[in-house]
Amino acid sequence: MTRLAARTAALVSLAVITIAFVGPFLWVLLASLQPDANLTAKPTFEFSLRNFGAVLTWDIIYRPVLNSIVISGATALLTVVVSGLAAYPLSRYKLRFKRHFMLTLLFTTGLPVTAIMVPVYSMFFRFNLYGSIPAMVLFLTASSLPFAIWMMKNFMDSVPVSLEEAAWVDGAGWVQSLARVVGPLMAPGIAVVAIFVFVGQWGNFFVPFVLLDTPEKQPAAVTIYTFFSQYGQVAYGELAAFSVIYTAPAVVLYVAVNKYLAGSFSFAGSVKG
Amino acid sequence: MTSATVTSPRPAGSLDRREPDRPVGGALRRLLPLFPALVLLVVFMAGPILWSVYIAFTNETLTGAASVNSRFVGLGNFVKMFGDEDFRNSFLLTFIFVIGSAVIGQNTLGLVIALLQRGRARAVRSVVNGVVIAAWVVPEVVAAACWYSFLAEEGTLNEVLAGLGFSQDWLYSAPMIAIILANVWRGTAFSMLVYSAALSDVPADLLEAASVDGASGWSRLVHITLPLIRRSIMSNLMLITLQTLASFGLIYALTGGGPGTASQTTPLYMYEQAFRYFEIGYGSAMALVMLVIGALFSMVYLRLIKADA
Amino acid sequence: MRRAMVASILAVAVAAAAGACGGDSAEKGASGAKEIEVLYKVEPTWPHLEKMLKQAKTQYEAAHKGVTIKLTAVQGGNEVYYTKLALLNRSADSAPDVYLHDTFQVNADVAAGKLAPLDDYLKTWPDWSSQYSEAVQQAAKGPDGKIYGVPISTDTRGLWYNKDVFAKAGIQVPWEPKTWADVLTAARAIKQKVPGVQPFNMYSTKPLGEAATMQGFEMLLYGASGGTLYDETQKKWVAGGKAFTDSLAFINTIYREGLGPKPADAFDPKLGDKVGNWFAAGKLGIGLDGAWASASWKPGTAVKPWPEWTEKMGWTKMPTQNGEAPGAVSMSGGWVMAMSSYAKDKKDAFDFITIATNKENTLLYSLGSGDLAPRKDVAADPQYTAGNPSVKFWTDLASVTHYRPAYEVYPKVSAEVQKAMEAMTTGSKAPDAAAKEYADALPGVVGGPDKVLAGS
Repeated sequence: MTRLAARTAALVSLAVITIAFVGPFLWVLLASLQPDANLTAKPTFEFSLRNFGAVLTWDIIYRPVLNSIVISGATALLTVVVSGLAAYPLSRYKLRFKRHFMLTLLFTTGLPVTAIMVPVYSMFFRFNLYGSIPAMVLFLTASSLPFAIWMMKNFMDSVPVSLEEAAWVDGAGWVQSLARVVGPLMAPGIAVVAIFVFVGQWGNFFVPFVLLDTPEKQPAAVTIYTFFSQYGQVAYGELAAFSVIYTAPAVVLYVAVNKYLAGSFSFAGSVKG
Repeated sequence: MTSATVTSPRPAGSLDRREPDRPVGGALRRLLPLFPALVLLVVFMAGPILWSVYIAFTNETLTGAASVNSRFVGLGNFVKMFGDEDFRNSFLLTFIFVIGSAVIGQNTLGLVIALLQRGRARAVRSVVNGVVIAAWVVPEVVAAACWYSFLAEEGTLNEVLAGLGFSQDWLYSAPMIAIILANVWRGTAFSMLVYSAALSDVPADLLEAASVDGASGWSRLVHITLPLIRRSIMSNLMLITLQTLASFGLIYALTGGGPGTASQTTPLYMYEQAFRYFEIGYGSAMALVMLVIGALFSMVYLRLIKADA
Repeated sequence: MRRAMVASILAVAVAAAAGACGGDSAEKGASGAKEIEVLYKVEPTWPHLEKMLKQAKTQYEAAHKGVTIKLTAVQGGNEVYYTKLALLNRSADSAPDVYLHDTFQVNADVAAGKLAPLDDYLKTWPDWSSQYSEAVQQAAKGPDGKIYGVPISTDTRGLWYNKDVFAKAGIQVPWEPKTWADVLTAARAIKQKVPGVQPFNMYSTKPLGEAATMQGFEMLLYGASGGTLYDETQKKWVAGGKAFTDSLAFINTIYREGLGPKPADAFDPKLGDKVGNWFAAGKLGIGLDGAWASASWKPGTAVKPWPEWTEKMGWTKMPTQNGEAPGAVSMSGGWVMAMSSYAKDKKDAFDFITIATNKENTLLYSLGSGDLAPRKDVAADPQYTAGNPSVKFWTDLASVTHYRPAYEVYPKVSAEVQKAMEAMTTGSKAPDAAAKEYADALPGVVGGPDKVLAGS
């Protein structure tokens, strides 16, 4: 019965790994529900939604989350459109510098964003863009693009060209072909890219902190950071409640595309270019 | 950073070709869809990067006299850097962090989880996937809060270990281990997804046949599975190396580089120089060195992939 | 072609920005109406300055028709504020007209020409000579002798102690230590007789930043014979010396004998908050800290008020090393309202500063923050002393106080001091070894060996 033994061993290992991954979450979940939370995830029998009530105010939650939705949403939308367009020639045509271009993009994904914030900041001032949410969205889009173009190109590669040929026969140009044939076929892929970008920006603290001027424009990532450093010793429960509310949208979005997620990480051949 | 096979399981490397029955338009027209992306990348990425490269060779600062009168200092910043004990310390820590949390931690754990999940019931896979991915999706600041509370002196881990007499302040006594664990926790999902996808492309009949021939699980893994997914392994290693090399937020929020400089990796040291002491010339020089290191790593991985192809 | 493209995309972005962001840029360009932008910091636990500036804005706008005050807040602590201000000050367009400024950052900005001297305006403002003492007037004096800011707060430093803990340790109150040895004796007595209580607290690590250098190290150094970081007569930085080594040795004793915070707490950037809570809980004996510490207990300003503090807490001067004259030491810093050299309407901007720092507004701020008031009329106001019996003591410390050598390189010198203190905290080096390392590093930090004087 070695097979059964192996099976049991695998299941036990998975259980251990799962428990280890759940561990750090425990405190946040428990503390958010306990009125007198401290740093230990030690449940008492006292549960209440008071912590949530305390943080659900316009200044602490609603406005920052709304800002986050606007910033991350606009960035995701723009990134999908621009990277979708860019992926088309990269996927469909033989281009001379394609391999170099793709490798450069890949390399850019590992760029420390702190390294370029000073020049970006200077540029925003020179062109009077400091504090402008639309301008920051353009920058965030640019920083998300390398990654998004890679994903888009690989999704697009998997749509057989033969399907497009019928459209070409009908006299459709690349615009129609992209919009009517390729786009719909890679809809799950587009959703993955959009959500990837959205969630990435949802947690982005540094860029809005540097590029936006007033607290009214700051997204939740900046507000929670301030909250964390100011109330860190005082209101654990509220901090935990804030964390739960702030994290929920990101998790929900991932659950929504979970089905396609696994498929979108197939790598074989992609780096070969 | 990722690739996809949504509608077709076949890797798509062979699609490069001209459209058949179409008049060949000018190169410009074909490249037209690339333009919005190029403009954004040139304006918001290439421009600032080039500017960074330039100021890496100056004594530019954010405040003080040098902020209005910066001058070219040649390789001065780089000479200073290699004589700077704190920089060398940060460099070593970055190396440990990348090897420990990415190359060993995330990569191995991701592969192990993906292997263990093969052939498991759907419900089991959903639970494991869900938990691992949740750790990945959580915003950095929240991840740091989770780990802070987990490792702090009055934290959950010590509560669990109290009976064993191990209790201590982990963030103080073992800051590198703390940030490595936190980063493994946060980043394993990515490797797991990559390897799950790669493993699904390994033909089951091949493994079946080897099994019939009496190959043990271990030898099937080493002789069949791993060679088949080798390219995925290298690609994954390259991506997680680059990301971990640049990792800033999690460490900053968790230990702030401390105690002292015990967990101050180069991105944190760079941040301190540029945004705390306002030495942006020096900070940019460090960023440049990091970029070169990242490029070197990438070239090694790419060479390995190519040799394999 | 590429340039045209860059220009056009930026133009689009600018248009979009102007449309979407409440028309900031349009507002500034509007004819006739003037706007003065005021930058300051605000934290959820520190709203006091915002309250004061909002009151000042209302007063100012009522008196100056056609001029609007635009209050721009930076959320976060000091480090965050310095960074944001430095970034904003990089260009004339983004620089605020008037801003809150830490006195120790003033000289760097004077060197860069970012600040406007106020001397000509101050002459026309009678309060300046009548309400600000000569010492207070120096708070934001540049290397050129000109004044670059009007103080909104000042501070002094000394020792706080918990009387309950002292009673248990059998130490007589009021406690008046005359030497460093007296301080150590009291701490040792607490350690011996009151288990579970931290005898002494000081800040000694980099995460605590300037609090470590100023409340911690300089409170020792400037009380040791000949101790200073900078020789004013020779205009040189002092490398080490006996006073420096002795100060490190004091810190070393604190940690080696287990009289100070646990290592993990010593490195916690939030140690300052913890200290307030520990005193209230009777878990701490003595704290080398600042005048403002009572703000964390005072009802009305505290997150967790502890009204009994006026009974339970004692405060006393930090003695000099061996009781050298004048017998006690204090360090002072504080914040000023400064004016940008880029400000277009300097007269209006200065008028706003005078309103922000008038008696009523300074009082509002001092009552909230617990900071010492720089104005004589506020210091004499019964409301100011009413809620806080310690305030007179702290204000009087001005007679023995010192200012930091806040020159342009000071923040980097301060970082080197913190490094030496950390070595004491962890015990990784002996005091003389750490002092030598400081002396070796100093020339590189201050710009050459010709700016350094060997310590004696």
